[in-house]
Amino acid sequence: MRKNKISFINLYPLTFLSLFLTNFAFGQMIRDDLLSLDNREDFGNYLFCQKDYLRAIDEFNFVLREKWNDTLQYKVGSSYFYMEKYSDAMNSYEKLFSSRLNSEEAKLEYYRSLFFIGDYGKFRERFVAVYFPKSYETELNRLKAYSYFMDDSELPTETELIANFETHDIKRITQFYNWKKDPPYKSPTKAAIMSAIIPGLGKVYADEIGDGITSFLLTGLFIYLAVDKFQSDQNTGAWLFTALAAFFYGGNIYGSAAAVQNYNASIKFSFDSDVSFYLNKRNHFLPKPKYLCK
Amino acid sequence: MNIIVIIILSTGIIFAQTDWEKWDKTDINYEIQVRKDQSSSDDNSSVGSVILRGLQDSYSFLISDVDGDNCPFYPSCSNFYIESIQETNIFQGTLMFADRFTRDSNLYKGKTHYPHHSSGKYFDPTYNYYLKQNEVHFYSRVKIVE
Repeated sequence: MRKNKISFINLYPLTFLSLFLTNFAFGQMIRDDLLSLDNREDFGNYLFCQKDYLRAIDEFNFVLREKWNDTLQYKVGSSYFYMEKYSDAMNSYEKLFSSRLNSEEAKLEYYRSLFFIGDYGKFRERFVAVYFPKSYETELNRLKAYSYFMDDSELPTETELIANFETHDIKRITQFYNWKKDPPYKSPTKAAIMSAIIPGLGKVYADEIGDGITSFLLTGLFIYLAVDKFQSDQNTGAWLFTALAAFFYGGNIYGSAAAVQNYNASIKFSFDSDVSFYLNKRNHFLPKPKYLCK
Repeated sequence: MNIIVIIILSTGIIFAQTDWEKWDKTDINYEIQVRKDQSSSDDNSSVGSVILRGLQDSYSFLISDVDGDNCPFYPSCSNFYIESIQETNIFQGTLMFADRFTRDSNLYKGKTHYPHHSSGKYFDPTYNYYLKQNEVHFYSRVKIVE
């Protein structure tokens, strides 16, 4: 009985060693399988759908080094696009221009990325390029026409600009066109002249009614005090109030011109906000990007 | 019963001892704190700049520090004046300051009239008043300017 027990105890190291080695062997096999190209592609797709674009790009690029895949290359471009790295997105889409499957979509996304960079002059110049996607010509022409509202370049004619838009867009586009063609800016010189005639009037013209009334009261008060002191032959006080009146009078003329410039900046800001809002609402007049997560 | 009352009272007294600390005498620092934006250290050592800084420091020491930080704008009116002169010239800077002073005197400044600065004041930078339309920057009223 005792002898049997001893032999059983002696078996322990051997059993342990066998289990330990077996574990290593199987562990290695699982690891090989885990890093297979298919798994990395699946993992990349998972990361892409989880919006972990940076890591998804790493996985996709690893797979792409081993085997070419149009969809993966397209996803690399989309990942850069969603990360707002538009130049990198364009480089990625460019690799698909001669591909059989996603060529037109890649070209569309290339132009979309170019628009998002914000160099609208360059965007319009590229419309004569050989790789211009003919399947999306109308949509891109709408975006091109709209891009004239985004920068200070010379506008085309109204007919030319609204030609590609759908009926329900035309009213709003015409409003933007008219604003851009003849912005309702006010004149700083006119404001300065108005304030020179009646202190504060230029501020009222610049929609600064409170400031206008304050200017009028301050300047008027010191002019009145100066005149009163001169009439009472109190020359020191009179000149002091004259200096103060001149200080506020000059400041009100200068401030009226500056207030009009600020007013012009505010309506330009409002116009730009409206233009961006409408563009986003209409999804840049382009079809939505290909849905890549199932 | 008496023992319980004694225990409660003595416990209250023992714990009350710790509260005495906050009634202790503390050393008060009467030194006037110089704010960072009022510091007179400036690389520009021209005569005009020295005079201007002297005037500003005097104003800060004699009026601002006593009266308190009352200017509703950022930068404050005195800093606005200094900055205006540095960026333009004494004449234009003075006109800019006169205009700022008038706007400051306006009691009807609406909450959306100026953008809000992170300091809690109205943000009114000098570059919006150089009379250069391209340099005027309009800030959204719903965001806080850092």
